[in-house]
Amino acid sequence: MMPAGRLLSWLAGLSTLVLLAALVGPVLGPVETVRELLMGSPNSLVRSIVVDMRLPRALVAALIGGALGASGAALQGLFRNPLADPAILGVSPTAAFFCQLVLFLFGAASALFTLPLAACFGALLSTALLTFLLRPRSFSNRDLLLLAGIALGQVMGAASALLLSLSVSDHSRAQRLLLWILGNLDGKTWAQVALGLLPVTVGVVSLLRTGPALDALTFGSATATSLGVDIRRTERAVALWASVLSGLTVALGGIIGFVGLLAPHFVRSFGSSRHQRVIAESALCGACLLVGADALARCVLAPVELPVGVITGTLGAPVFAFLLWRRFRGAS
Amino acid sequence: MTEITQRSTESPLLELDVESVERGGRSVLSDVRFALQPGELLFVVGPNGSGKSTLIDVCLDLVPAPRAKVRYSGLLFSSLPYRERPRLASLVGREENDALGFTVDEALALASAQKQDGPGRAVARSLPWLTEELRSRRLAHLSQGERQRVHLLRGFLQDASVLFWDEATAHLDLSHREEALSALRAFTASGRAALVVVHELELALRYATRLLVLHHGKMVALGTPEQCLSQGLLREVFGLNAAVAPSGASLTLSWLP
Repeated sequence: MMPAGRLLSWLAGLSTLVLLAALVGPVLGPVETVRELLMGSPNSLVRSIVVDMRLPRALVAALIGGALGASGAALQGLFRNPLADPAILGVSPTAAFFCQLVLFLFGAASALFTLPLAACFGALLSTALLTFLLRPRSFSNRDLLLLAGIALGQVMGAASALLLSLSVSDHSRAQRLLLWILGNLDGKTWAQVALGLLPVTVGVVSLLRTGPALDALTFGSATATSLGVDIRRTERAVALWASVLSGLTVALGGIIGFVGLLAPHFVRSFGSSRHQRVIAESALCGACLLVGADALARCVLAPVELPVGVITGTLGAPVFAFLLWRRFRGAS
Repeated sequence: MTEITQRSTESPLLELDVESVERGGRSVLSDVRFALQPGELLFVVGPNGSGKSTLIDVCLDLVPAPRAKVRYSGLLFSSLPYRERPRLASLVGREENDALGFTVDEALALASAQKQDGPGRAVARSLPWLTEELRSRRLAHLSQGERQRVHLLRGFLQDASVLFWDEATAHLDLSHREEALSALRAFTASGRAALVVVHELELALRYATRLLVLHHGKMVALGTPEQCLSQGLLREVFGLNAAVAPSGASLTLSWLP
């Protein structure tokens, strides 16, 4: 059902990108890095930079990108809206606000576990709110959904700004809070890789399982029901796992826009519209996108490192506009 | 109203007992009761807003209808788990346009997931519509008529006891319309039943084993087409000055001066 060749080439591309990302950086260029790794002593500084800093950072980027791609693809299928994305629907901003609230109230202590919990709680709260608002019309009212999501994102953005302005006197805290809004992968370690690996895998696999139901749902709720789909259950499963995944990405790296939007568009424009394939390929495509974007973020203005959200935003928006243009030109 | 005749002692494929269905506080369907036996091809006709689509909604449990009972082979439909429903009822004609990225094969695969092998498969295979070239095309690049044929094929492949076809033949040209309805007749002849909503009364005269006429949400006639379509009913329900008249071996509507 799923051509293994395509998945394997995505995986090969992702591995290559992760390795490349581990070789490039502002401190040490790729050539020196390879030379040091091959010739240098096993406990050298270079080794520590590559193994303890760059590699986990690239892997966290891959996890976040994969989670964003998969949840974006599933949300687009569920809401039958090609513009759905965790950031646009206000899910990521809500999760980010709850992360900031935890940091604001309790400081950075024990952040490794409380932040993901807070983020997932925020994400679930926002999807529950959207579901509640849209309940009478089911999930198919496109404009209402986008407006509600954008409004929610604005409210949460304002709440985040409030926390930020309350923290201005405390410079380091304000800086930490700001990083959640910008999307940032600085200082990721193997602890975050270990923390994210299992839940992201479980989340993506759970979304893959909703694929056939989402396929039927694209033909409308009446047709889907006649094909044996329990629509409420599908809605709950997708909302739950997409929220958990979006929450995790925020806990790991803040609000990173456009990856959840772009990856499914990119995948669909080259191949099938069946959701299992779109979700699987979007996860891998999103992972590639974010690993690449983060490598760029570390290199373009070296030695200054940019927040990765700046890269995904500036590159993502025009590419998205191009995809839309191509889509509508093709449709007419 | 003609009486419902029970031809077998077994449970009918479909047994509908609608006391009343309300939408927005208004009754849109009331006192509709009939049963479908294997082999029946029931056409449902009526002017716009007469409750035809609501009837299908109720049969497939798509709207809340606490005062209606729908049984397939004796089983209460709303009490069955969702995954068991597709083998009892299939629905064609309610597709929305979101699925345009799907290819024809992918759209048909939705029904094939039901894993059945019966008369519906045979009927679908007998139709000459699925060319190699068509299978790999996306629905977005098909005409409305081609899309409607793909959806009907999906309905046959699902191979349910009762096939529901809403707004049937709306986009089909004449030759495909005849092919589709002949295929539907072959499908019901092999022990299934179908309920078809159409606007063309002539088609009902030629293909229906029974006709159900709805008017303002009420069943005003149920029986063979020529029994139902009296001159009085045609005038009162459809506002037509016409009568059913023989034309060669079959029946047709003839317009009165």
